[in-house]
Amino acid sequence: MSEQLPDGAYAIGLALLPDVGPATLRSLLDADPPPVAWEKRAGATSEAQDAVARQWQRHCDLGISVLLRDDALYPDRLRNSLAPPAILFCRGDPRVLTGKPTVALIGTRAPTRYGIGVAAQLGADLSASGVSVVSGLALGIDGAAHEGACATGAPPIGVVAGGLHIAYPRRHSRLWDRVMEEGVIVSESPAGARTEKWRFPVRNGLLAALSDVVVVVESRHGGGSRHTVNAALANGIDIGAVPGSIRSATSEGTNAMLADGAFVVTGVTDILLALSRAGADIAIPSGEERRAVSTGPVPERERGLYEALSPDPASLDELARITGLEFAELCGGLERLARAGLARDVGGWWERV
Amino acid sequence: MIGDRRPSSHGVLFLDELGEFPVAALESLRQPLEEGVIRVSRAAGTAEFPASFLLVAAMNPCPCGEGVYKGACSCSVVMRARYRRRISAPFLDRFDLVVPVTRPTASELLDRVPAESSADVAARVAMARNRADSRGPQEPVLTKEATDTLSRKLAEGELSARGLGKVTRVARTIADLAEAEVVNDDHVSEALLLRAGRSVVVA
Repeated sequence: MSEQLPDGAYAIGLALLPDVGPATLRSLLDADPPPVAWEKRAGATSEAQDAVARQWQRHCDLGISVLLRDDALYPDRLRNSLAPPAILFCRGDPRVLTGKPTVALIGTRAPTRYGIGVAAQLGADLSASGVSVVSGLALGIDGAAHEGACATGAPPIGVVAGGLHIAYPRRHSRLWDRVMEEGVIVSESPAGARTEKWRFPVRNGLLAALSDVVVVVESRHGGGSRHTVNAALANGIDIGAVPGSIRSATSEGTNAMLADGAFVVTGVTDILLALSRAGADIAIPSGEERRAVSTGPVPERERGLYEALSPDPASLDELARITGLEFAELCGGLERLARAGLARDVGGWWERV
Repeated sequence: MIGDRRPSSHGVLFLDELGEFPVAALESLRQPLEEGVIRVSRAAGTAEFPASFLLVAAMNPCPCGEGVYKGACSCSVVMRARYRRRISAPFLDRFDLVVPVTRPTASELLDRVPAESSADVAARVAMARNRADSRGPQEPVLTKEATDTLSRKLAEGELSARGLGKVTRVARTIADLAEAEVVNDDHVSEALLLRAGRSVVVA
């Protein structure tokens, strides 16, 4: 009977043992092939065999694939990292892990609207530039980054702490499904494993090791992002941070990272440059190309108003003062510019596109 | 609550700090806003109280109050969402005009041009009302461009059927204030933007 089960099944059995963490699992599998390691640990009883068969069947039923270090699909990024996980669980397409350059977008679970907007924008821009966005599928920045990255280009990569049998946090179950369909979700935890606290730092380490560059969008002083950053530093992965207001608590962590030498992220180009420094084959758009995106010609009638707008949002009162237009004329002009894709309303403020 | 509203029949009811009112109190305003009366039903019968009033309300866009100022809001998304949940979308929908009020800059405070006097504004309003009264109840006449703008907004789902009626009425008033016979695209756009001000509160 033992001949019928693949190595992965025994590795799952070992990973599910309550006293086996990632480091123990690695040393067990370094010493022996999985069936032997399992037999040494659990005995050669038929109950133990049945347990392995049952767990293997459960993973197959859930569509969870298992990667061990000698698998061809096991990503080189992990193989070359400080502590390559002995086992990797995937839902979705595991080839995504090795295909494209990867950038982690991470940050606080309680972001400001600024952080949400920047995370979604960077997610979309990176994905459209052919970069897979790696994130933890947590609430806040993680979720926003993947919301932006889905359906825009390169397949997304979700890295989670618990087993892949259930979406966590529940509020993100739709996002889980999308990431799984378009890309892949990975974890070091087998299905059915309890989500103990220690699994979160393990996840952060895996997330860092799967990324070519790590970018922190918003982080509080002493926030959880620093664990991922430390793991990335240990692996020699470049760190970027999005600057924020010195008065915003959610930017204290990121501003401190910038002071410590993280590179400044003001747009997708900064990240693409860091990727090319890290050796990724990536095309950096020139300034002209970036400006040339999808704006129609400015109608003659609205030229003065268009000149008064800037990428920095302005209130209607300000615009009325600058242009000297009657309020109705101003509103009509903005409406027509918005229709031409040249201006947009951001919560009562107007900016040039 | 009836006691609060009765005196303002045919008057102005001003609610400051709208976000601090109990949700039930605000929702109970929906009937008088729609019908101009408050109906109280008891075993002995139903009493109807006149309650036709103009509702004016003020609130901060978020708990820290900085949300109207460029990028200065320090509230978390959760805090903002909790604050906004106090004002339901249907209630907000009853407002024809939502105006974001921004903080004046130092230079605006120091060397501002004298504002239009209240007497002048009153005269303009009286003139506009006269125009409206002399025209009588009839459908406003819109330019083709104005109609196109409205139908595009309807098609894009940015304007509801209820919203269309309100926007058209506000646009007609804006045209009256500008002494225009026909409602043009600028008037309609202004009415749309005054309605879109709601996005500051609900976004």
